[in-house]
Formats: sequence, structure tokens, C-alpha cells
Amino acid sequence: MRHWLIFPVLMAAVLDARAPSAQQVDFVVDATLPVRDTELPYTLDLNLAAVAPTRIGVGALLDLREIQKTVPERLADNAIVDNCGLQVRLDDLSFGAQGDAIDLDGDVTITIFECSRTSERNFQRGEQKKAILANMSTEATVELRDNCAYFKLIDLTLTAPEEQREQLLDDDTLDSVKELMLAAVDLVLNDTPLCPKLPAELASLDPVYDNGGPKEIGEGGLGVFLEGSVDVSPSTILDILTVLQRQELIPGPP
Amino acid sequence: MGSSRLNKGLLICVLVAMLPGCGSKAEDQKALDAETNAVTKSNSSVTTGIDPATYAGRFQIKLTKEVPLRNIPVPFTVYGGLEESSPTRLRLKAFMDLRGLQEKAPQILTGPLEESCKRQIYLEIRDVTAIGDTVKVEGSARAQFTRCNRREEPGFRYFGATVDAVAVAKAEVKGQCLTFSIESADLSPRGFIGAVSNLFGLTNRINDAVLEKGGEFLAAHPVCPPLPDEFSVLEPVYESGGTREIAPGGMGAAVVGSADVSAGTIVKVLGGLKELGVLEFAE
Repeated sequence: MRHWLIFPVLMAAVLDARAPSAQQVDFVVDATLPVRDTELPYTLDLNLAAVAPTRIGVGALLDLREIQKTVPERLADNAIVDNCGLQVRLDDLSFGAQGDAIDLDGDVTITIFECSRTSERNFQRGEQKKAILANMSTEATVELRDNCAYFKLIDLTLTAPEEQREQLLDDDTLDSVKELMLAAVDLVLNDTPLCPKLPAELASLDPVYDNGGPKEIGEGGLGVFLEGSVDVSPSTILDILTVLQRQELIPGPP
Repeated sequence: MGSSRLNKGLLICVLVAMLPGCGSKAEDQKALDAETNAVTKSNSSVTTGIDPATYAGRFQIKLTKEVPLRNIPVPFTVYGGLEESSPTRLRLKAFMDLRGLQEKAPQILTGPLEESCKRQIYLEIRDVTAIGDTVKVEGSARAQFTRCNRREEPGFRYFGATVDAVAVAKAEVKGQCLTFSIESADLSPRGFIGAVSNLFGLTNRINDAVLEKGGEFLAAHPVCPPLPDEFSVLEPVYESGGTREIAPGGMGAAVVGSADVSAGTIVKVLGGLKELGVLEFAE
């Protein structure tokens, strides 16, 4: 029945000459975030609303709660920093949104090794000098670049237990570890931008985002919102219908 | 004059009943429900004789559906074309292939128009033919005038006549609806009774009866395109259109319209497509 109904829908919408009152429509889209060799699923809540006679406002809410659940497991026991003299391993991580910020908390094991140079470019890791357990806490925010959302760490605080502190301060270890961690994490985050891709059917509504940030979903749920708009014309409808036809979701041409 | 009025009544009834989508909302809904399983995607069926210019557009669509009219399944094919006519306007052209209906029309329309105790009117439609942008209808009407008995049943029959009618009608677009009008008519009362009734001016009583019932029928069945409930807020406006001949003698109808398209319209279309389950992106 739906195929036949499309025609009246079109006739009705196309032939509706009056300016309708404020209208909007929501779509829920299954999306994925490519991370290295895998893809993490998330949900894209799309809100389209007529904001001007030829402009549709687009609000995208990326619901990352699934990723929030799975990422700490995937990262556990992974080394964030792993070079000749230093290894920082993530033992435990949890993060959540709080209002318009993202809080991260975790435990890391910092291991320091002997490191000797064997040639101009090669280093040889030697014996383990010491291992420290530290607590990491940091805050992240979201930056909008090239129509994509990037996570960015604002700052990183490493705290070590009292009995190990002196030893660390002597070596100024904690600061260098912190710098290395920040650099390493930024590298990873810069590699995984959230670029919400609209389904093919809505490709002609691809918006330009001009605002974005973290957003708490429910209690501590991680979300990212993006706001933008797209200019539309009568052709936009024809583009959408043509895609639907190509996908055989609506009857084809004569 | 009297005879052309009879034809007018006949024709209006015929044409109104023939157009898909005419009728009450409830009937439309029933028809739509009934064709749920009858929808077929476009296939390579005959488009012979249909001028592609009648549905020209950058986006084109062909729909085939079967709608039961008086329990007789009638196939309809609609060709639609959409095109941007200005930065804020779309033009729509649609052509409906009504040959399936034309073929079934005599079967569908033949039957009683009125069966009261005062009078009984029966229509018999023999043939419907398209000629250019007009429609020729051939048939007859049989009318009986009776006295009502105590149980409100037809009693003593005091007059009856059969009239053969050949009429040509033309459809016009008025507002959002197709309206039919009579171009010309040819009426001939049958046999001796017919001649006598003509002589005594009694044919007028048949005319009046058929016109009265035809008028009631029209009032109850406006000829307007069907809309799903969620779009009842919309009132489509067609600019021009009417019946067209699909060579040779085949009946079709062409409609042309255009409208301002705003961001709101597009959002509304998306909402409509979502309602229909065409736009779904999540499991």
C-alpha cells in the first residue's frame, strides 16, 4: 500500500502552495565510527526543521553510549605510551558526560625502563627501573573542524600514591609522562573524528555544521551534538525521490 | 432542452462514479485498504499511445494499482512527472490511464440509480469512449413511476419509459477538483411509449428524476484526488487538466499543477515518507 500512498503524498506536498506552520521531522540513523581496523556503532538522532523559506536547520545528536560501554574494555591493558624508556598502560578507564563536559577517570601503570642507544636511530630497552600505579583524571571537550567533531583533552591530571610521590618528583617523571600521554591521546583522537554521514536518501540535505559540543544523555550518557543548516530548493525533493527510486523503495519510472 | 438535461444527469453520474478517488473518505480508505496487496511495481506493461509529454519531468514515477469499485477490481495506472520550474516552484504533471476503468465501466455502472416506492430508475451503460479531450457515453435509462402502497413499497405503476442517450462530456479543472460538463447530447425516447411520453411532455419527469438523483450523487461524491489522513491539512490545487484520448478511443486523464516549495514543504515530504516507512535508517 505504501507505494501507492507515495503518490498522494507527493501530490499533496508538491501542490501545497501555502506556507505551513513550523515543521520538523526526526530520523534515527544507525551509524558507525571507524577506528583503525574496526567500526564502533552509534546512533545518530537527526532533527530537521524548516528555519527559513529556503533553509532547513539540522540538529544531530550522536548517541555514543554504546561506545562509552565498549571502549573502556577494548582499551584495558593497552599501552597508551610505549617507547624505549617508558610504558604507560591503561588498567581501567571510565568516562561520562556531565552537562556539557566529558569526564575521564582511569588507573594507569607507569613503567620506567633502562634505555640505551645502540645506533643513531635505534634504542634498546633495558631493565625495568620502577613501576608506579597512578590515577589519571582528565576532561575532554569537542571541537568542530571540517564539519566533523573531534574530541580533545583539555588537561590531564596524574596523581600517584603518597609513598611513591617523592621518588617521582625527583625524577620529574610525572610531568613528562603527562606530556607524553597528552600527545599520544591527541594523536589517537585526531585520527578518529566523528563525521556524521547522512543516509544516501538524505545526502542532498548534507548540512554545514557551525556549532557543536558534548551533551549528556540521560545520567552520564555520552553524546555529542552538532548544529547546522542546509539550503534547499525544489530540486532537493527530486534528489531524494530519485535516490529512493534507485533503491527501489518507491516504484520506478515509466 | 429536456432531453439534454436527462443526458446531463446520466453523464454526471457515470463520470463521477468512474473517477478514482471520488467519494467519501471512508470509501477511499476502504479502497486503499483493499488494494494493499494489489500494488505492483512498475513493469514493462503497455504505455502505447500515452504521450510522454503528459508526465514529463526530471523525476518520473509509474504506479499501478487495482481498486475495487462495486466489488469489481479495476486496474489503474498513473504516470507522474515532477520538475523544478523556478527556484521556489515545482511543476507536477500526471497522467492516469483509465482504460481499465473504461472497460469495466458498463459492468460497474449498470444498475439501479434509485429504487424508492415512488419511482425506480435503472441505468444501463453500454460503452464509454474517449474522443480527443472529451468522453462519449452511450447508454439508456429506464424509469418507472409508481404509487407507494401502505407498506411503502412500489404499487400501481402509472408511467414508464426508456430513453437511449449518447452524450459527450468534457472535464474541467475547477479549484482542486475535476468538474464535468456536457458538450453535446443526443437523446431518443424508445418506441411508441417514448414518442407518446415526449408528446405529453412526460419525458421531463424522467429528466427531473435523473437530474435530482444525479445531483444528490454529485453532492455526496466530490471528484477530488484522495489524500491520506496525515495530509488532510493540505488542499492540492490543480491548474489545468481533463480527460484525454489514448489512441484509439482509450480514456485517460491529465492533470497539471505547480506549487511553491519551501523548506517547510520539504520537511513535510520527509515526514510523510517516514510515516510510510520508506525512510528508515535504524533497526
